[in-house]
Amino acid sequence: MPNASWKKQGSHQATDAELIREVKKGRRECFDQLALRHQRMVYLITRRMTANHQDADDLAQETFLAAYRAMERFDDRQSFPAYLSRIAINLSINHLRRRKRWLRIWSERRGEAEKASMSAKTQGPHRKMEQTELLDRLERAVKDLPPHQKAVFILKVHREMSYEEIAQTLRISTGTVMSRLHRARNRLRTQLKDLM
Amino acid sequence: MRCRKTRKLLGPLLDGELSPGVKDQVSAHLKGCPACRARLESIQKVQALSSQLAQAQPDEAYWSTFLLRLRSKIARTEREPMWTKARKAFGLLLPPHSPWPRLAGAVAVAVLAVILGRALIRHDIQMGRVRALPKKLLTEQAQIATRETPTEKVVDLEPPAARGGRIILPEEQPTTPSPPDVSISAGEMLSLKEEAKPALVSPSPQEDLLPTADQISQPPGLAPKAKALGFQALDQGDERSLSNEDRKFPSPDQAVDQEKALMSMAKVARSSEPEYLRQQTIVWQNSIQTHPRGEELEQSYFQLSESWYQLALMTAHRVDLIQAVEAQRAALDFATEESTRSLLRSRIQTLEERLRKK
Repeated sequence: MPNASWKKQGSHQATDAELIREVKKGRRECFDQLALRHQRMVYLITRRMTANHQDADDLAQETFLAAYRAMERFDDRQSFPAYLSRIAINLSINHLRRRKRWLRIWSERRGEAEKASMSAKTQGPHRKMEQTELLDRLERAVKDLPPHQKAVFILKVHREMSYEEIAQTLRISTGTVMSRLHRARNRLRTQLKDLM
Repeated sequence: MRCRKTRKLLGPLLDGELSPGVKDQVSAHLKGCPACRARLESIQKVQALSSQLAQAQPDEAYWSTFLLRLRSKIARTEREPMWTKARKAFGLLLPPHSPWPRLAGAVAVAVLAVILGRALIRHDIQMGRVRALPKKLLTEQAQIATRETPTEKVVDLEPPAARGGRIILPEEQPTTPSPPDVSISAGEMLSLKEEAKPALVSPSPQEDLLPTADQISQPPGLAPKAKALGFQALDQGDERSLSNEDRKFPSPDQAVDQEKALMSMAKVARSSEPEYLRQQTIVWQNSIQTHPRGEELEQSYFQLSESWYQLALMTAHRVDLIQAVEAQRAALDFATEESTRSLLRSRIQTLEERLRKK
């Protein structure tokens, strides 16, 4: 019985691959385990990519939804966190592109709305960790990074992935990872020059 | 190693991604280059600050609902029909909380409204133009009737069929209601014209006073007499025709006896043709006012323009020429076939040339 075998395995911490196999067999609740395990990591990526809690939340949910839908096709020999990271980053990049297009037309309104939402959030509970000016400046600078540079930077700094892992996750070459990261760091350093 | 190359490797140095050989080279350069050392320090600061940013997370209340919301989303996705999925896929192309779908809907409605409005206005203009034709015509006719008497033209003995008229059997009935044939008898044409004139030339500004198609198609006491005589004038555009067997010209024996009558009939028919054509214009005008659609409307406009064209060429009055040009243009607006359109354009040219000569 697959259920019984999974329960036996459930007594210890089931690996991602085991949970994925169970999900493929139709046990949707196993996906809950996977979501609980990786939700913070996914949210962190989407939050860093979008710099907006609401967008990050939507994208994190969309990431898990997309992963669930594609679970049948997922090769469980791959790293599931890397897979989730790739989905989250791709969704975020698409989101940023759409937002950029939209901003081109509604720049003033959106700018005002974002300012309002940022100032509201600064006083809210989610922004307690981001009080100093330097961190605010850095956050804005990261937010303004081009999406592809931002993706590499986030995976390196926040996920602490190696260049090789980043390259595999984003399906790009190691050289590209290195150059994108170099440009991202230079950009951040230039923007924070007066405070450092 | 030069500064430029070293600076590119500072990041990988911090990340521990350099091979031992390259790492030694970079370290050696850094020892002797304060600028590169300063840059390394600034990169380290950025990295340290960035690590602090990574700690920004929502509170536990948020995480307690995350999974519940995800579950309901998954359940909803599994339930939702195809059209909802398609709509959602379309929505992914748009920015979050985008006003575009509503805006696009509003623009689509506005465009439709403009198209419909223009079509209606165009139709009204055409209708107004056509409505105006008989009034102008009747006013003009009233003026002509009061100031000049019709002069007799040279009578030719050409059979009516050769001029677009034809001889029909007394028993023959018109098969279609439009255009109604106006049957005239030789003896009564002049008196009929006198009877019809007051109704036709009344320059009433009210549309209701215009003669209707029924009034024109069946003048009181006219049809039976015309049928008895067996002579009927038709416009040239009439497609109906009789076979040779059906045609009954007067026999040679009777020709001498009937010659005078024929001459008289031809003369009256010829002189009455403008009158007949005027009636035709009113008939087609009435036909248009019954709000036909598509081909019927196009056909009615074309017939109207045809009647006006013939009438204008026949009378050569300036007012008729102007009205004929207007009628051609109205028909051109509705004509779809290129041959018809080119015919109408050539007619407009002809009429305008005649107008210029006037």
